[in-house]
Amino acid sequence: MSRRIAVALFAASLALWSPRARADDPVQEAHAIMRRAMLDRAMGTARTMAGDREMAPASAAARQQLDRMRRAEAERAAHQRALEHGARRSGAGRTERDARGAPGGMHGGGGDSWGADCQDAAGNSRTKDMHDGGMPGHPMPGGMKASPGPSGR
Amino acid sequence: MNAAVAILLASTLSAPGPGAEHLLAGARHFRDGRYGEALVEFRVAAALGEEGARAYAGASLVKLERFEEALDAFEGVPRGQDALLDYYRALACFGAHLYSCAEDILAGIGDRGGPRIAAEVASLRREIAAQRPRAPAADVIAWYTGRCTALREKNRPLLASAYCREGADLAARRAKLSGTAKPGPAAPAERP
Repeated sequence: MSRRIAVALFAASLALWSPRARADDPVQEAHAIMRRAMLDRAMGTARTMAGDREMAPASAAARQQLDRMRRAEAERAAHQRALEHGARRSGAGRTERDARGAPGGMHGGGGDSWGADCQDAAGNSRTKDMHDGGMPGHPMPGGMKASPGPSGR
Repeated sequence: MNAAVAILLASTLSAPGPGAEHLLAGARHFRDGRYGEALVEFRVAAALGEEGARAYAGASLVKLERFEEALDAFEGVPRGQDALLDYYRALACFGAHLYSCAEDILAGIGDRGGPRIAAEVASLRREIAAQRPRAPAADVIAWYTGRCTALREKNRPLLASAYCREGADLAARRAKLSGTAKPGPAAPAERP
C-alpha cells in the first residue's frame, strides 16, 4: 500500500515539475519573458528619462518665466526695429541699398520683401503687399498667378 | 490507479488560470516594445486575478511614461521582494518628480538585483542628485502642494500624500537653508 502511495506521489511530482509541463505553462513562460525583458529595457532608462525632460517640477514655473523673458525680448527687438525703421524714413541712417530700392528695401525694391511693414508719406501704416498691389500666391496684376497650381495642367 | 489519480490531480492543480494567456500575451508585447498593448493584456490578466499582472502593468506604464498611473498600479505590490520591480517603481517615482520616494526605494535595493541593476540604480541616483533642487524655490514647493491638492480632489490619496511629503521635504530644506525654523506643510504618513 505504502509503495503505491510512493509511486503515486512520484508520478505527481513528475507531472508537476517535468520540463514539458513547465514549458507549457503560460504563466511560467510569461514570468520568464518579463524577467528578461524588464531587465533589458531597464538599461539606460534613467539616463534617457533624464535627458528627455527639461527640469524638475519647477519647470512649469521656470518655463513660464522663460516664456515671459522671450516675449519681452521679442517685444524689445520689435521696438528696436521700429525705431530703426523710423530713423530710416526720416533720412537718418538710410542706407544706400534702401535708397536705390534694392531687393529687401522697403519701397520700390525688387519685390522680395513681401509683407514688410512700412508707412506711407502720410504716416499711414502700409505693407509691401499693398504697395505692389498683390499678395504672394494670389493672382498678380495682369491676371498672372504667382504659381501655377494643379489647375494649370 | 492511484498514480493516474495523482497525475490528474497534479495537472488540475497546475492548470493555468483564465488570465494566464493574457499575462503571456502581455509579456510578449512588452518584450517587443509594444507597451500599450502589453498594458491592456496585463490589466485584463490582473482583472482575472493573475498574480504579478498588476506589477507588470506598472512596468508598462513606466515605459509609456505615464508615471503617476504607474505608481497607482504599483500600489499593493509588496516592496523589497523583487529588485527589478522595485527599480521600475523607483523610475516611476523619478518620472513623477517624487525624488524622495525614488531615493527611498533605490536605497532599499542595494545589491539585490545583481550587477546590471546595481549599475542602473547608481545611474538613477546620480540623475536624482542632479535634478533635485538643492535650494528649492517657493514656486517649486507650491507646485508639489498644488499637485497634492489636485490629486486629493481626484480621490487618489496615496499619490497625493507622496506629493505632499515631497513638498514638505523641500520646504524643510528651504527653511533650513534660509536659516528659519519654518517646517513647511505637514505630510500624511502613507507611502506611494
